[in-house]
Amino acid sequence: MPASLPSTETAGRATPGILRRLPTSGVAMVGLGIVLFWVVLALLAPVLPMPDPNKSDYAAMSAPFSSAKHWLGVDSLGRDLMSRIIWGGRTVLAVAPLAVLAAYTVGCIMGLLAGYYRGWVDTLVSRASDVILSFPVIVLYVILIANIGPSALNIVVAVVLASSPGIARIVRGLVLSLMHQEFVAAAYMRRESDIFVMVIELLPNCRGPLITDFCLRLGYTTITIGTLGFLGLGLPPPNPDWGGMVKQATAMITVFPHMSLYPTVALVSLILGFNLLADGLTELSQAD
Amino acid sequence: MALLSIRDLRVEYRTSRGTVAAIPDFSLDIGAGESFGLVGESGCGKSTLIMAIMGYMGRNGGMPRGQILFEGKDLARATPEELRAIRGGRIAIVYQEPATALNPSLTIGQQLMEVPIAHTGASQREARAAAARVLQDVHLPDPDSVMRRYPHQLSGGQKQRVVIAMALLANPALLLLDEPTTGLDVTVEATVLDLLNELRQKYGTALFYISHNLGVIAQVCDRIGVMYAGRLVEDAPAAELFAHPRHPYTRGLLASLPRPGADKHSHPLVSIPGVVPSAGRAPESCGFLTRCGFATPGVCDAAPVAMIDSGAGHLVRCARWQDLPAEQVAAAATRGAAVRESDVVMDAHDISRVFPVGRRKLLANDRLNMAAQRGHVLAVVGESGSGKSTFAKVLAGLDTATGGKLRVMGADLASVPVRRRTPQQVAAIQMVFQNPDGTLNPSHPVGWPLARALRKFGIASGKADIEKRVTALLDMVRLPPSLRHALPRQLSGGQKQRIAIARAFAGNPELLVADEPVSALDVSVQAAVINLLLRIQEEQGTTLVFISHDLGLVRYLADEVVVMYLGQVMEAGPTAAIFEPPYHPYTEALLSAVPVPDPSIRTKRIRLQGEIPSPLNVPAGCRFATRCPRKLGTICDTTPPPRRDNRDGHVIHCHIPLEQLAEVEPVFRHAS
Repeated sequence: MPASLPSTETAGRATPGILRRLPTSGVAMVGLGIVLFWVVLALLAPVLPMPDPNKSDYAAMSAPFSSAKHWLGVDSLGRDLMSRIIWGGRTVLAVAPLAVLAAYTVGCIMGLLAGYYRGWVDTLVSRASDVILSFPVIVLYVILIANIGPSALNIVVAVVLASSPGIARIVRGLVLSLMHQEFVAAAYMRRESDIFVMVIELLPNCRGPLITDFCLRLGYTTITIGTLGFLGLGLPPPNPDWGGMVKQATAMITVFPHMSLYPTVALVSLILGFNLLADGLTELSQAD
Repeated sequence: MALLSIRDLRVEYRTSRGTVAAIPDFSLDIGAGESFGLVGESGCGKSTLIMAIMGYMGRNGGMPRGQILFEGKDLARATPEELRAIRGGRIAIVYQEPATALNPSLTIGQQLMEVPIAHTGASQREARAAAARVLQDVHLPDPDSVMRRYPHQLSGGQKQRVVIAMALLANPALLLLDEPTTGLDVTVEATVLDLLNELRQKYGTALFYISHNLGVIAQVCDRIGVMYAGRLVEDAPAAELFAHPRHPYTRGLLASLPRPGADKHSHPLVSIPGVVPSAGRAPESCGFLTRCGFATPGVCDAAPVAMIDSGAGHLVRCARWQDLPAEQVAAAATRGAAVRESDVVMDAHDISRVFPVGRRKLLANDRLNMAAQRGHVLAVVGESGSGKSTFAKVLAGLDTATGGKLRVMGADLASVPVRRRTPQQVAAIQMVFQNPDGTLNPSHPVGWPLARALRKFGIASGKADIEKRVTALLDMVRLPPSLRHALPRQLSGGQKQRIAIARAFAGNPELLVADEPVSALDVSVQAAVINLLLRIQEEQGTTLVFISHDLGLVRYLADEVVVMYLGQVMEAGPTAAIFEPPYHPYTEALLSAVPVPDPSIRTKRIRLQGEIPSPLNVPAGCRFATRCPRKLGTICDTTPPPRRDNRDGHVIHCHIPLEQLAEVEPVFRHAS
């Protein structure tokens, strides 16, 4: 009789993972919608019936406003604005996730090592992070890109250098608190290696806060790419680049405001999309 | 007229899953000056009831039906202003966690003085005098100095005394106590319970005491209510309830507690199958229906069962209460004593663990000696800070000793961390941890650590073989194989601890270290997990080192007991010898502090004064000298006590000769 019948013990309510509960958050869904809008446009760019983004329509230059041929008008060189914005979205949406992913790889390794081993490893990682984080980010980017030259790869390198210390800090903090959990001791009681404990036991439990941070960082990186473009440190011309388009149009902002307004709206909406998505995810993770 | 009268109360919460009735229908009367105890496992709705009385319902809560009449006023319909006047004034509350009840940035004095200033408009001077007086009443030495201190400068027990003092300051008619001693050590708990009894006499306050611990309730309350699934299922005078429990749930709760004098061979614990249904999921007719062994179709599931008066003020909500057998007969114990060969599996000799703290030394373990026989259960008991968990970690290799020898399987493992132990040694010494919520990795399905352990210990290889063995392990802990794919958060606490036990047994261990494995579980689940652990341990002939602060449980399951205090062994020996004179004075005090869930048993009253000293600054002579009620004199302060050998390996470290220690009367006696 004792210790029988536990099969009648019903399991507690299951809360599905945060990503699966995404549809329950209105804020997150709006954010996701905006981001998906740009992703779909970027993917379809080659097949959409639009003028070539780098081809000038000299006839339209005299009246660069919206027309049946150029829905959003043309820029100062007669290139179709809508086409340039959509093609420009392609670069942002390719470079930003790539850069953030790369920063995450480096940041997670640094954070795991620091939080797991503590001692001198932690001191080294933390102090190095402090040094990098104490620079104003934009100055850091300008110095870097000015030195290594503007290109998509160099933007990725710059984002990794500037973002990974922040990511490392988050991971380190999470790992420090997870190390007190008994499942880590249980892993030692199975003779698991350090690498195994870090990657298989600890890292998956960091994912909640990291998913939110990932979306936020996508937003920041989009800002960065825009800023670098505006400073002339983005993709080399004639590649369409949102920041570059704004810069090019600033000289004529009083006469042809739409030339700088449209790419700005595009930039703002994408950043807003990422931030709303992050807000929604935070909300969901706090509801746990 | 009753002081507090709850009438047909319904408490609901709006959630994303719809409206949930946390309390479907609840009625209760508490008279002025009465002491009423409400018992129930977690999830029964006890805390919800307290929140409803205090009017802390949150934005998604509501009371669509019923009344909470307090001194004639309906709290369920009171305005926020009316509630504010009553809370902390006529009704005061003491919560479970004293640390969070006090504001860390204000002194104790400031926080206490607020009460009379806010409720009676007292002047600063009057408030200060009242605060000092009430601190004296809760027996805090030197009230003036306590008033100048901040909460972090007080111990847990002292903080709870301050919270009680604060609650009493406005001279309330009703004091709500929500598990006020749950986080405290047993010796501190005993003094707080004494204090509550004393203050009740002095102030004439009615107590509404909520706890899951029947032993604690038995110490403080005249009348006891048992709550299940948001309803009161039994309500009776305390002595009557323990003598004649009528509801199957109450009987189940009592049967799942070890009683003094009972052990695993004579009176096995009986657990209640299943778990408490989540709020709003219990059957409407009888909430206990799904877990009740006496449920009869057509009788129990027909109409909602009403409270029935069974005479002598004993109310019970059970349609079949008259049909139930007079006493629940425990399964006959046929196990008896297994073959006990004298074969030492673990021998700890002078184990020390010293942590350097700056220039000082923290003595967590100081020359510990103990041995565990093959197939036996060795219990290590002591209050928090006694170093028992440190010893468990050294055994498991999660920490290493700074001195001494630890012989297990012919090797000295005292300073060999788990990483440097051989696979055989690691598989042979396994551990079950305390916290069910931390013991499993939330990211992996529960079958995963089992499969991983089987592979790492070389027990099984190949997918099919591992699958088969994982299923066998789950079966061993009586869990269905389908649970293998569930994530830990889908499991109950008891189920998680079962997985932890299965994991520890994956490598066929010789020695299992269990560090408070059931202290975080509800009593009915506790009994099931303990029974399971003991059954597997006995079947496999595993040696169990059981770390615990629960002496009732230890008496039930242990073959040998080691009593630790401040990093040293005070007393060790066979379980029967520990619970009878001669006692070490510390063991005697520890035993007398145990709340016994049976009013027919008289417990000798010995209360320890003060707090356990810091392990950074240990007394030079006997470690227990600073708190010992039987201290001889300076010899106790200056000279470490001699080892005194009683019969059968019973050892007491004390300056008092054995003959004098044997002269005391036993701690537990039947009242008759």
